[in-house]
Amino acid sequence: MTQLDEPSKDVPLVADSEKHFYEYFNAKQREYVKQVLNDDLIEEYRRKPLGHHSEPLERTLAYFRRLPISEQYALKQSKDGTYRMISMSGQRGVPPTYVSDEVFQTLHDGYFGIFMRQIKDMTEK
Amino acid sequence: MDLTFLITNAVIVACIYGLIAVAVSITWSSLGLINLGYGFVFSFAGYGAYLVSERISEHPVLVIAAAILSGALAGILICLVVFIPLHDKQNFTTRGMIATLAISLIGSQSLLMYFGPRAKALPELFGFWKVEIGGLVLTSDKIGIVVCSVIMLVGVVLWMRSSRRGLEIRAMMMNPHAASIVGIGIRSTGIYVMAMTGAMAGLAAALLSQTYYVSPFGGLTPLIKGVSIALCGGLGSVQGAVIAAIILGFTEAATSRFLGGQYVLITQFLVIISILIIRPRGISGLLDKAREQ
Amino acid sequence: MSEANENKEYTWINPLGVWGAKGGNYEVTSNQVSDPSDVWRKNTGYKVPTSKVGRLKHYHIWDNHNEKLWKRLRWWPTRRHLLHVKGIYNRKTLNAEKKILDRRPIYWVICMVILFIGPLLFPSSMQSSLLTAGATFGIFAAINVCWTLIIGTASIFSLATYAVVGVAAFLTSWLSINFGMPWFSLPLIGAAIGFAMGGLIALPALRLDGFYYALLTLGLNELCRVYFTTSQEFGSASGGLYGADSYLSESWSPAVQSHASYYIALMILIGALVLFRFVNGKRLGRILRMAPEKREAFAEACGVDYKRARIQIFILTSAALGLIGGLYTAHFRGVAFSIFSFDTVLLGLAMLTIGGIGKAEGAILGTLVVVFLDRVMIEWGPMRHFLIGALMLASVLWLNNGYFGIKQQFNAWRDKKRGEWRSTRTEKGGEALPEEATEIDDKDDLYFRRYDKMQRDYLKTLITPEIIAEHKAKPLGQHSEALERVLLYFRRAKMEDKYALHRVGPDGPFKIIAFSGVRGVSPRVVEDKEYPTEEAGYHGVFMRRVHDLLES
Repeated sequence: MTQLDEPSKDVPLVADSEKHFYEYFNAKQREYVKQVLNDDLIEEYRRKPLGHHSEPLERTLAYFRRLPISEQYALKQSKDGTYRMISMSGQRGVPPTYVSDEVFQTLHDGYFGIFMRQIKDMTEK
Repeated sequence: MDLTFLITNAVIVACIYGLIAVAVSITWSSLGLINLGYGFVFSFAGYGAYLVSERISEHPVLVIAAAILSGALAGILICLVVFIPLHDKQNFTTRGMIATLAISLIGSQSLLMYFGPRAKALPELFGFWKVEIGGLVLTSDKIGIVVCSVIMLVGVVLWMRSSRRGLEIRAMMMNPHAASIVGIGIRSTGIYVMAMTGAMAGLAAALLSQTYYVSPFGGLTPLIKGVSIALCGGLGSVQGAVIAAIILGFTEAATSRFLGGQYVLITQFLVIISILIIRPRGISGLLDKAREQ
Repeated sequence: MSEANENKEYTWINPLGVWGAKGGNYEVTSNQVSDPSDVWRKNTGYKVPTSKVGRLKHYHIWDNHNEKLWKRLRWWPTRRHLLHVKGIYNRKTLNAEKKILDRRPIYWVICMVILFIGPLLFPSSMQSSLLTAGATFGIFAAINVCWTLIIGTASIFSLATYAVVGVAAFLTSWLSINFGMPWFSLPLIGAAIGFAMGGLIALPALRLDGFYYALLTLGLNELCRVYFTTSQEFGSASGGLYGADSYLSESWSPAVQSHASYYIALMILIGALVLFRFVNGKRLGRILRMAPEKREAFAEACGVDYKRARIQIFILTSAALGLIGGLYTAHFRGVAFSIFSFDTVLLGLAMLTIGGIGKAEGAILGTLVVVFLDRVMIEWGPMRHFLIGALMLASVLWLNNGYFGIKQQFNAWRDKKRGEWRSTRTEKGGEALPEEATEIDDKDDLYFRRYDKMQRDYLKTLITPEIIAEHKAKPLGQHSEALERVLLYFRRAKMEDKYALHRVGPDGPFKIIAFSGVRGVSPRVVEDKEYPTEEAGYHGVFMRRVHDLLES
């Protein structure tokens, strides 16, 4: 943990140094988030998705919100007031697609579902 | 001979009404209140003296003291009812004057209800002796009146000049605001002023009762005369009131000698009106400027 | 939510740890941070129970004019409306409504109607006495309304009103008795007499003022009294004059006579009110009201000729009073000396005072009360005057502006009390007292004080031994959120009395000093304790600041 990671090990070298460093930075952030991720954090988010959060949770959420649109999720409200998760394509003109069949009863559950999905995506990366 | 008679009459009248005039003057200049309730104070003092003379004794000193004390009491009553509640409210001058008029009305009516309409007589205070000085006959009551009122007036002036309370009263006459800053309480000074002036009016009642009877409404004429003298001499100035008293006493004496008693009021008021037109603030209305509100 | 987290210990992981933070501090025990907006919400919350609509008046008053807006009733031939009406929208329902701003004309009309149908409501046993008293009321109310023009509008304290009326009455009755003048000429002659007397009493008014003028008029009153009382011509033997011509013919029955006298007296009153309205509300009244006694210099500076206005009002009012005097004679067939007595003046003043000086309705109310007590309640005896005096005293002691000024007085008192209650309920919780706050010009300063207090209250909850240990271990660098918030607050403080470190030797120990905040004035040494290293010094300064925070 105290050593600097070799950049080329995790992140492919790109011609644009900025893009390269951006990827590197995100990798470091992922490391940090994985360090602070525990059951307490998830529980805190489940209890209160919006509003004041503790510092590690806030940093986690900031990381998730900074992801490109194509890696983010949204909630679509159905006619009967329930929600389903959709993922955006990131390209103009291409419509979003349903991610799963899971139906969320409230927005609160929807937020939590998205959070869990993001964590899964991140840990599998 | 005629002149001396006129002069003596003038002096006597001046003494009695001058007391009330000085009282009105002092009250106005130190408290800012025109006290038209002196009619009530007058009658109250008269009745007080009457009660004492009926129940306790007829000794002149006692009767006069009773008149003075009941006058002071009535003055304090007026202070408590009129001055203290109203002195810091708006429109104090007009409201105070009307309140004293109201007290005069209430007081006279209650005296009427209690004592009945028949006038009462006070005993002769000064005896029946006479003195002859150079062809001039002075009856005891005339001498007594002059002596008593002069003593009272001199006493009041000395008290105002040299005692602490008198100093406070004079300070309030000059500048009430500054006096309150220095620590002279308006209310306590007011009580002293009203007691003192009530005492003066009470003495005037006792002295005047030698000629007239004591009745519930008997204080009105002396009140009007006293107020006229005070205004004529200039509100706030004791010497002006004395001078005006002498002038008006002279007028009264001259009129009753030459024209007949019923024209006294006419000539007096004509003199007052002409003095006021010549000098709109009275003969020596100097201190009135401090009280312009 | 925040209560669950508040000050719960947790292990803070340094986000810079993945980057290789120099000097350690990768994991520190720290505290959770509570929601800072809690203290804000608590401080700025409105704690008083409020109703849903609020204190706005929203009850329905009158419907709007709608299509009839143009064709409203007006005083022909002017375009002036009957009532002063304002169109408003209901605050709750947003309907278009209207509100009558000045309801006094309605009250006047109601009272006049009551007065006119009065005889129908009188108990039949007291019919005649009430009608006579009503006639007296009408005439005296008319006199008092004219008197209010002088005492109220022109604010000249004149007591000569009854003198003018009496002189006019006496002269007209003398003329009628000796020369047989018919009744319709008496008011006109009276008006001429009043005109002359008005000129007589107006001239001294220019020179005297205040109570001197009152004395002068009182003297005039006494003069008239003595003159008329002692003169044979004017019936000194019989207490007055009697036998003048009247419009109440002797041939009518007594009931008709008393009814006629009542209604004619009411017409006189209405005439006086018309005069009052057209003098007080028009130019002359405005000039007089802006130039009261002791403020003439101001009026003159504004270009108002107050002398002419005063002479005008005197002449006008005295002519009106003389006219009423002539009508008095025609009404009562004569006049008695009691009109000149000091008692009448006193009662007249009582009539004016009880209702409130300056308003016509005050004069009428006062007259009503006094005449009722004086003429109707005769069986009460001297108690009546006692009661009149007591009412006068009560009105003057407690009411600033008479009976009709009660609403204004009460509203002023209620506003004062509301302000006091509001200031006791102060919810700002700030550092400045309400009366202090109005003196401070810079309102940002007030807000900052309040904000600062909220900050300090919040930060006091964050300071724990863990934070202090964290700072001691590593004063500089990335800190946990709780410590970071506290440090940011300290760094933002103003320079005055801010702690700093003073290096005594080249590598030497450090001492804590405090800045003066003033240019050119050197800092002061706070304590003698010397810190061996810079980090120790930082921590020392931190401890001092924490101590100050907890003490504040």
